[in-house]
Amino acid sequence: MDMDKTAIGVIETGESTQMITAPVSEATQMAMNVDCPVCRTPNPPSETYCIDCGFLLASEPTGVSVELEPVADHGKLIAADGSREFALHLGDNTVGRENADVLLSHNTISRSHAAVIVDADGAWVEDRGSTNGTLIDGQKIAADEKAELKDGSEVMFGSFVLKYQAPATQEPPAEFDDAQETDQEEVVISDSVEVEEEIDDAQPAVAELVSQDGVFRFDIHDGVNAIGRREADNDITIPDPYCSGRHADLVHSDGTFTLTDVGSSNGTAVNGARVEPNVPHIVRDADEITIGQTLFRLEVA
Amino acid sequence: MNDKTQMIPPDDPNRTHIGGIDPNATQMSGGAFPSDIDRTQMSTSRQALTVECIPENKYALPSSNTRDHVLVQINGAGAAMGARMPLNLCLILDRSGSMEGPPMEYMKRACSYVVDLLEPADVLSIVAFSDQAEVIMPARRVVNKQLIKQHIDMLQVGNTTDLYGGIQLGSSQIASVSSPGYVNRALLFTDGEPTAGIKDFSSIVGQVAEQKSRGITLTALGFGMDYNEELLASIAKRSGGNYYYITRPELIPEIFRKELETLMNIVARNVKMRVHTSRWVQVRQIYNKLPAFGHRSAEVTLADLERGQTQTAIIELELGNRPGGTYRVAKVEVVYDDSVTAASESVSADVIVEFTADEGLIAGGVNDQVLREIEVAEASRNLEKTVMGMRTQQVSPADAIRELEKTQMMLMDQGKTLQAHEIQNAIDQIKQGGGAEKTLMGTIIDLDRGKS
Repeated sequence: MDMDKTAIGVIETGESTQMITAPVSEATQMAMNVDCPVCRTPNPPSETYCIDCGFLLASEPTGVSVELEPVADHGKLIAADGSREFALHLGDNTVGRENADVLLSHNTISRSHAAVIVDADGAWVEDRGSTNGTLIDGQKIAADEKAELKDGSEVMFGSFVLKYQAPATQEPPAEFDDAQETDQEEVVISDSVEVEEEIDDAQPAVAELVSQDGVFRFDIHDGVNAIGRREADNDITIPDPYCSGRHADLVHSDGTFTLTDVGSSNGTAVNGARVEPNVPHIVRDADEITIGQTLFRLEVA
Repeated sequence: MNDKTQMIPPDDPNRTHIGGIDPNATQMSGGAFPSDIDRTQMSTSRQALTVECIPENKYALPSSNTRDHVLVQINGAGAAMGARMPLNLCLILDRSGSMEGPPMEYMKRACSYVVDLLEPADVLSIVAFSDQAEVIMPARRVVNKQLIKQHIDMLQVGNTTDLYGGIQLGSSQIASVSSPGYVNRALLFTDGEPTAGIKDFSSIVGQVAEQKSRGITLTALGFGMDYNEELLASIAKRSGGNYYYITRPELIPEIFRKELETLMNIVARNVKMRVHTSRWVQVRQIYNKLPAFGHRSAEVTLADLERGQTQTAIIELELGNRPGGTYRVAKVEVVYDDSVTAASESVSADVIVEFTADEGLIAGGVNDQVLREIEVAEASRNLEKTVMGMRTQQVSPADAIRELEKTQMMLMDQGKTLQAHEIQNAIDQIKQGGGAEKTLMGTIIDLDRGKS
């Protein structure tokens, strides 16, 4: 809390509460900056809210265990002047003047203008019958064309120019990483990439995790399959904002599948019943597993 | 000390935290963002505008990316504020051939009426356009009213319509009065399509935008069935002025009077709303506006505000995940020229959201008023689609009426009786086999401005 502040006045203004602080003696304590407990930005003592992240400086953050990492990176479209940024998600990202994922309020943009289609292999742009057209690096996209976006490509929707930024790290090759779990194996698979691939080939999938809408099919391998939103820490990356960075582990061992929620924020459910965190839960073929807000079915090979 | 405006710690004059009139509004809460220590000092209890921000939901999940709407209500001070600022008014009048007869007579009567309403401190100029534009009376103080009326009486009908020339010449008359401290306004009155001079839509609207940047606002008055409502609505929108559709010649004087009354009640001009967003926050859209985006900011131009009038804006924010707690996710700043003091002023309000994992709080935190205002804002888009459909004949009159009745009922439910009434007029016009576009265009402009 603000050790350098002494008098604290609280003014009730309807629903909002405003804090007013004043130093005892302006001569001695004026210039002490207050570091924001959330983003560490130094704030002049006169500020009520952090000048950077807006956090109420007189309070303490709650639930600090919550991951601050952004949703899995699937590339971005960035305005030429840097003033706007549109994070892309897997599947269709609609571009238009109304109800679009990439919402551009401008009279050169059609209501439904174009779409950026993102999958594990890259990103493509399709014009959806816009009035003023879509161009990639100056080349107009034809009516039935699906034009690929390269890192740094400039896409022009109407009179809007956006630069495509490919995901920072490419989707890692299908692999499983149970190094963290068992010490002996760590030695084996952390040796070289080749070894990992060998294991990959040697161990076929024992099951699949299939999303209800059919968009995602994830292979489940023998051993630990880490599930979460953060690509770097998981074998299975789920682009659901309600999925935690590290969410759950699905383990296959001796023909048995167990699911363990590893302390996710929004929980894991099996057949509609929420499982206790950090307690392994046996799952079987055709069980329904809810991770965040995405519903999956376990399909044993 | 006045308990509504003080809260200044006696030992620190720089730490002014609260300004404004309404103790319920979250005005001027502390903190420079980006730097409002100077501005807070400026704010007094006599601000011409007050601003209030109401989030659609004051709670949000900390662990995920969410969207939240914010209703911004900007109010023109209601109480009498002493002397009004003088007007620098130009009447830009269509004297094309189609004005022959009663329209011309009523237009002259309306102009004389305007002269009667003005005071010696006001400045008036008159420009008329036909084959080309000409100055009927250069800008002058309204001292000798009889003389000015003689100028008006000399107006005669001509042939074609040089609308562009009229706007240009009228604006230059307003600009010829170089001293500050006037409410600048041009009233553009026309009954037809541009047929002489520069005629294309984008050049005309471009000219209007240029005049707006020089502090000249245009009000567009369309008369009869033959003017281009798309053009006049665009002029009013671009300029931040009003739009009127005058159906019958005998209504011309009444509408001129109404507009003049509006001008005399303006308390804030050159109004701009800036949304400053905190880290992990982006503006997704501002309903029915075209924001200019900057670094962590979005800005829109708003129409002049009248005494006692409210304008609303709806901002959609994208909130990134973060540790739980209370945050100012955005600060909404409204800058304007005070019409009484001519000084540039600013008021602001914070958007406060508490990030909590308590789903009960989130479910109960929804503000119904904001949801209703979003619905009203969306009605404007629906009306636009109906107008477009009727114009391209893709929507039958029966379908159009059905759509309009739906919108009308919703507006009625939300207490927007004026707009609901206008839609009734439009429905009646369609039933009589006429076009309703000219009427609906006015409703769309009102809804876009969030006027009430």
